[in-house]
Amino acid sequence: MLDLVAKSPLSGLLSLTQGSVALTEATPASIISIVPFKGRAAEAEAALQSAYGVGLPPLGGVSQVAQNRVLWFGDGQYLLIADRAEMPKITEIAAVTDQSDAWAVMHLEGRDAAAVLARLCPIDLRPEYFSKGQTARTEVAHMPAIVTPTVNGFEIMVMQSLVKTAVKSLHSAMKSVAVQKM
Amino acid sequence: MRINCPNCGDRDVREFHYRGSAKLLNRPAPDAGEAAFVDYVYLRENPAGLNRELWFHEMGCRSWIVAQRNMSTHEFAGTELARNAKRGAK
Repeated sequence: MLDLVAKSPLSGLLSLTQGSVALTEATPASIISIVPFKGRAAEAEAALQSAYGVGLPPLGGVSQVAQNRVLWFGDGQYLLIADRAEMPKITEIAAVTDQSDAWAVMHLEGRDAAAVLARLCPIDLRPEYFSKGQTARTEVAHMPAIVTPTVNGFEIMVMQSLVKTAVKSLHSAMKSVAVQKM
Repeated sequence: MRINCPNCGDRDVREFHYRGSAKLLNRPAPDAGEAAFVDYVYLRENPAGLNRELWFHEMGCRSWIVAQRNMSTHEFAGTELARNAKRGAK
């Protein structure tokens, strides 16, 4: 019998540190997209509340209770980041897909994290415009990405098929900022 | 150039895909006849002023947006989600 070893999407690529900034991998339990059917958002929210203790976030927002999070993921679309084992059966009220094997999650953290990300991402990353509790679907180095501010930097999610390009681009920006700040 | 997405706020134009005139929202009835479909598929206004057009926030919230853009200055006069946009308007 084969004994298969599960590898994380960024294994062998991270962690990296350059100057004050570190790029590390995060491995959430599971990532599930939830798109409530027309007029059923309140029911979907109630089901998530009782299972995970989190509701649906507002436009561009994040709701979080302990390790359970829901990210706004587009118009009427949400991304639940929590353990799929607790997932209630809500397929009658929402389109639900397990996207755990689609997204890779990285943390870019440190004093110059915003300066690094600003080289690759067109949105305004200054804390007065983009801070904890918010999230954005945008692009990072021309790749579709989800960027979410953390306490000390950003969580960046990209498609797993793009991780090598994403790490290469982020590392190159990290090196460039580190050299300029020397 | 920045476009004000009704969901995401001001975003760089590189996040968007341009589709063309918002006339595409006003599809003629199936029995409207050939002339109406020729007009719908091929004929476009080219005003030196505001044009109503479709943009897709491809690298963002993935919503279709109807924008009023000044064709002479590229200035945007307003945006709304295509699903809320009035159909049948010129």
